[in-house]
Amino acid sequence: MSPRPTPVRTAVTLEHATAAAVSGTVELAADDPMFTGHYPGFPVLPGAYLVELVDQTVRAGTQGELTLTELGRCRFRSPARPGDRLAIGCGLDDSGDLLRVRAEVEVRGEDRVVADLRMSYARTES
Amino acid sequence: MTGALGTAGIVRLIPHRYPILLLDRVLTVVPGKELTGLKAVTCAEPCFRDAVEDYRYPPSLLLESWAQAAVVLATWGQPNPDVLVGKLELAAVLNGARFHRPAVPGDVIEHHVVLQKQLGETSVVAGHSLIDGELALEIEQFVLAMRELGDVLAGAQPATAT
Repeated sequence: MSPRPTPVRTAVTLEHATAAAVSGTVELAADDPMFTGHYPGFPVLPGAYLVELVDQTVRAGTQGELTLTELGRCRFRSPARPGDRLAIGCGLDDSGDLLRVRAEVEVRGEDRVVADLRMSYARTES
Repeated sequence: MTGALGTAGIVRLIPHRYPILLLDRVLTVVPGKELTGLKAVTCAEPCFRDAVEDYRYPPSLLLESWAQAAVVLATWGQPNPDVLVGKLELAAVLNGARFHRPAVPGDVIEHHVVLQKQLGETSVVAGHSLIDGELALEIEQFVLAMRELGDVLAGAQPATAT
């Protein structure tokens, strides 16, 4: 299977997956080249990368071909920084053709919420 | 209306740098109102390093690229090219984004950003992106905020009081 293009260097590790919820974790590598440009001297994770990390978690924990079609309300509460271990929890509402995701990303061990995101996918037969 | 601004002009305005500077050119800007900009996608981008058959540009990067055009517009009057001497421009809230078609290498993405509201250091923008005149991305509302580095560092500590 051809790998999906992604800007993220470190893959999310899947922790739990049921029909109703998936969760994963990832440690933000301090030597990820992205951090040198975002931003020089003060590395923080771009908000768009959180979309990517949730996306990876959802794909790792579900079956079938998914196309990201929509982001609903996404709140970015606290910036994530190199070395942070992020816990990504996703609630799933799967109606067959449409998969709705409510995700919360927090820094494990710090009880700090980084972001909450709502994302919708179309299911396409593969 | 102000005319085109190349990449060298863009890095005088925003702090994003290689490999995550995802805006190549500003075509037009009406300060305080609207901006159009370009992002060219190539197969040499880091996100395609392991690509074999799938060369769809990640939606997250399409969004990030549009957001950088939004930062240029939002901070036009007060450029912020270095976060260590300036402030941090952070995404606060995204209220609705729709992805209509993926970008692939060879595509030139045209970003359109409209400033809806600016209150202090918070900006509310909306817009869309086109590829060959076709709608690729729609953004209903995006809120970005400038924050002092010190505040961000303080916020990064575990909460000691609620």
